[in-house]
Amino acid sequence: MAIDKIDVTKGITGVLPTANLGSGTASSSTVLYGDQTFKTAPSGGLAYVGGGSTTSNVAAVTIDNVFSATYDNYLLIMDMTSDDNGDAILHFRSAGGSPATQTASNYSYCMIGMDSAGGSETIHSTNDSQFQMGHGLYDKDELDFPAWSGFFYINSPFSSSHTKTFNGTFINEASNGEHRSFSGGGLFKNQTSCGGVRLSFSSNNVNNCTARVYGLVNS
Amino acid sequence: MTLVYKILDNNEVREATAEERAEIDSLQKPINLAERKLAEIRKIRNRKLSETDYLGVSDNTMSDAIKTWRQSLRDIPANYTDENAYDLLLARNNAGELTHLIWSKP
Repeated sequence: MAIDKIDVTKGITGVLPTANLGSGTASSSTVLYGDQTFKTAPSGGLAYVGGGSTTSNVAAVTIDNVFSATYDNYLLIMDMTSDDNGDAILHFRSAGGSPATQTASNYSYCMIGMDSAGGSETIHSTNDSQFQMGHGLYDKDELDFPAWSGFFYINSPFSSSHTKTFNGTFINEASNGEHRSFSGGGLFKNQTSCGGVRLSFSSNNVNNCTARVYGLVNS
Repeated sequence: MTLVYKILDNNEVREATAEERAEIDSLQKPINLAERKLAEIRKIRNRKLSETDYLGVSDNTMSDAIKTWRQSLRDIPANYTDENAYDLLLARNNAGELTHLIWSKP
């Protein structure tokens, strides 16, 4: 008797042989595409490695042990709101079991930007004890627009032989109504292996923050 | 504002340790708001001056009114010296326009 229909929800149990699904070689490194062929799985992409989110006041946000030897480059994407007049601040944190905030004068950075009134803006230092990510974030207490929002690519933070570099862009809002947008980057001039970051404001609390760190898959 | 000694540590809020409290305190660097406001005023002032620089080219005679206005802009840091005065200079209307008369080109 010829069978022309099988109810796959009842008539089949177990795992179908891959040869019945498509042509090509099925393996742990291939995926089945819509043309019914097994092809090499796509490489690259972003791998989430850690982050944090708060809607209540904290003095700082630390994201430790997210940088590792697994990835060379990382994407840090975040938004922050302060509860006082302040500047947005980033510190690197050392890797390992007892992460320490890196506060020596090893931060060199330069960012240029514009404000929404047409003026020019700069942030720069050759030997700061922190990376100042933005300035003029006055009394930002409206939650419908974060005081600071943006991202940075960080290169080789875990390396104990490389100077760490970072570059990115962000926008912040000042109490005078201006929006200020910056692009640029900087260096952390130290060979200390870094495992994470510390985010804060120059004065008082981080009122609201969402930060995510992704590893850029080496490929 | 009151500084809270809490840390969002890998997405868990916890009380700061004694060492971390000391670190939080040491990293507090309150900005000098008056200084920031004056810097903002200087930025606006410089923009206003640059917008009328072209009137000083050799084949043009700058009017006395413009000369006086430009000098008053240059004198802002000397003539406006406290935060209340800075606030008046930085005041804006609902449209986001500066309202102090010193910014109005004659």
